[in-house]
Amino acid sequence: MRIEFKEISKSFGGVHALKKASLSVESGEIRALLGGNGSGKSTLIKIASGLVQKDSGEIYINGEKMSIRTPKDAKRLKIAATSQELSIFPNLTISENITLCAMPRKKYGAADRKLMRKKTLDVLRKLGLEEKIDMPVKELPVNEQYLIEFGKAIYQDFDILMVDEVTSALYQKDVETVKHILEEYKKQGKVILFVSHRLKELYQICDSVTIMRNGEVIETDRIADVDDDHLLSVMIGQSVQKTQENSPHNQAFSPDENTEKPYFVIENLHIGQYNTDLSLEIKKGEIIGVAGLQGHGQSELVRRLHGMDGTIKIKKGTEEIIIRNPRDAVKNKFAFISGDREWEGAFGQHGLTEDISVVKELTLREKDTKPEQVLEAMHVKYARPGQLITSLSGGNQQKVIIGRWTYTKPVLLLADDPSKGIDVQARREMHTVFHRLAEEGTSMIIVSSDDDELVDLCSGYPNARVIVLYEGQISAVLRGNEITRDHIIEKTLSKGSEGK
Amino acid sequence: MKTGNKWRRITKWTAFPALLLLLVSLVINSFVTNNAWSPLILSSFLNTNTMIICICIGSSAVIISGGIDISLGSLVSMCNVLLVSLMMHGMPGYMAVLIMLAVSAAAGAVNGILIAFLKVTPLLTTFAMSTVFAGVALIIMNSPGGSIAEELTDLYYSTLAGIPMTAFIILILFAIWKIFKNTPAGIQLYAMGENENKSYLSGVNTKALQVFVYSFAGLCAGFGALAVTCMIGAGDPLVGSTAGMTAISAAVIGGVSLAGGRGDITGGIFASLFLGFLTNLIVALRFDAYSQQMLKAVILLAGVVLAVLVGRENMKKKGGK
Repeated sequence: MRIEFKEISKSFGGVHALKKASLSVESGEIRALLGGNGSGKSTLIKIASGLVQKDSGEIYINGEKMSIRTPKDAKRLKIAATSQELSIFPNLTISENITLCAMPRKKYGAADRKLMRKKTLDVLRKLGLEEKIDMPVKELPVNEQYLIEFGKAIYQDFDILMVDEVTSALYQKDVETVKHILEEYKKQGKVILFVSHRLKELYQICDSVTIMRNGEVIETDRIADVDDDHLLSVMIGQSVQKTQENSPHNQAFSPDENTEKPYFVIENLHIGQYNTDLSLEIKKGEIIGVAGLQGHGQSELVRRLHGMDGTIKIKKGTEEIIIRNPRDAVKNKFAFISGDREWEGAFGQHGLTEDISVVKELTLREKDTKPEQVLEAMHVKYARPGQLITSLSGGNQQKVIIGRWTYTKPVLLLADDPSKGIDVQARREMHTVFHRLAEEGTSMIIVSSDDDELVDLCSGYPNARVIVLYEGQISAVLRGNEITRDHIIEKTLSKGSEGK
Repeated sequence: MKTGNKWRRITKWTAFPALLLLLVSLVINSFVTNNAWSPLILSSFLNTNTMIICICIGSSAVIISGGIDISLGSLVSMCNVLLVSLMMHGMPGYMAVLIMLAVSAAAGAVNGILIAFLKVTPLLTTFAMSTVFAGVALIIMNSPGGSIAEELTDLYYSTLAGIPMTAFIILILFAIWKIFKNTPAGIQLYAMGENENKSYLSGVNTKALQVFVYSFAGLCAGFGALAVTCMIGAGDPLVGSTAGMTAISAAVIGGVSLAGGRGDITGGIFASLFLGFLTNLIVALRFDAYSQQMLKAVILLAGVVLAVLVGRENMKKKGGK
């Protein structure tokens, strides 16, 4: 089994997403596809799964030239793909979701529910989710929804499996599950292409890696022959500077040394899901990273603070402010960055400049806007300032959205998994922006499902800590050198004895 | 414990608010109407409302699929005058009915093709088509008139095993829907209603489903036209004009979400009957004709608001976005 892409080109409205990209993958190996945002890897996968039409180039399967025009063609050629955006339908059951594209029928045409359930159970068993079969899909935590998305792909009868970013919302144990499943398919001789932004996962899962940059295939290496620095420098096209080790602040930091008064005082913020109250104090320019297993109240914390869930009172400096809704929050110079671009970030039908200036102009009513400067400052890769935001890659979209909020010079920045699905380089740039804002006095509460991200963001920064939530309560607080991946994982797994 | 669960399942049923409204209106009606429960009155009541129920089934199906069809009322008018004029030209009844039903389904298919292949928004497509249907109706017959074979009227008012014939008209549509709903395509229709793009990306044949569901809605209008023609025994080019919107309201009261993907046709049937009782009630209470319209509208609005609120509450409890 072998799939070969030959000189595939594709452009979207003047932006070249793929420039004569050639790539060939054979069965017996798990190939990683690595590249920055907009490097073209998602486009390549979309072309192979019939979602996007290539402009030129050819696709060969086992040496035979194939034409893939629709998702149906891909299905016929036994190509299965998971998509970066969830394609889960909350109004259907788990079993309907997984079998949606190829439902077993009874003789006279009705859906065979018994067989659907059995086949679904087979898939769920592989994923370790068989006890969830009767749950409504939307009650599943996000990581399990992504596993279901993965399940939808492996339910199909495929020869070629392309996994696009499915692990970006998964925990370590889920990644292990995915790894075992992929290894099983590898043994069966299936062709597997795996996209992830988490380098660690690539070392765990893949045998070889193809690196893309600006729509071109740069090189292919055996995974054993490469390290972070090499991968990053090829991805970026220049050698990487190591931010973390050079940081002068990398030392233990004790709270008693910092006598500055807290700027924001949040008292007894109710977390409805667990019926608990959270209290939190933040100083000016302080970064609080929030860790925890998915659904332990992290999202609810930042969402409540942004006024999305009813009225709250908090102390800002000496005054008490009342936030009744997001509008109040924005008027008080709060910012909210969501990782869910499709629903909570991008105005898909609007251009880049409009997407940047929306908050500043429409809510804050300030008119001195120069959105193009923000695009430049955020290093957004774009063709025209008026192009639709949805024509950009996911990471570039997120840069626009972060630009929108930093542009308002917020006093409190709230973020819910802001780096979901964006690449290492864009993530580093985002962290630099956050650090700069913090130095200018913005306080931040950043929720992340990626523990490495919290380490990058908080451990090297003097005025930062990581709080770990467990069942709606703060179970641990980590500072300075304590902020390591191992520590965070350890604390997220069990209820710590430490208070706040 | 078990009965508790059952009760909760009933109250969570999307059709529950409509069922409740229907029961309440039934009770009130029995106080103001003499012999409210006599089979004759009940079956004549059903006869009066069969048209709305038929269109409501079609409307519900379209809304569940993520679209909307506001042309069904005019389509009823068109089919009504078509049927009458075919029979006036001496065509045998069954033949005329079959042709009329085929035309209704084809008219619906035109809606579906425009929406699926030309990507015109459903609201605009069906609005334009509703003007077309209304125009054709007036060309066929520019004022009320004509008559149909008595046998057809007699058949319509007769009963089979004690069940009025009209009930069978509804039952046919109900059965088609229920059978379809349980096929893979039926499940995919709900997925499409939730998110058309995602379902296309998942490999669902969204175009075929759209053409199907609008054709089915057209067929529903055809059955509605059959019912109303038998009831009034004549043609009227304006007979269905307001029925389309009433049927959409009934679908919403019946628990179908205008956002698509949620609900079923059963609630719409309850809601159509509820609106029927309401009309009875207002007439029985002897309001003058002008106030009647107003009062009906206010209650309709209240019903729709209530249904939407209940639906939203249920979604929240289930933890949706």
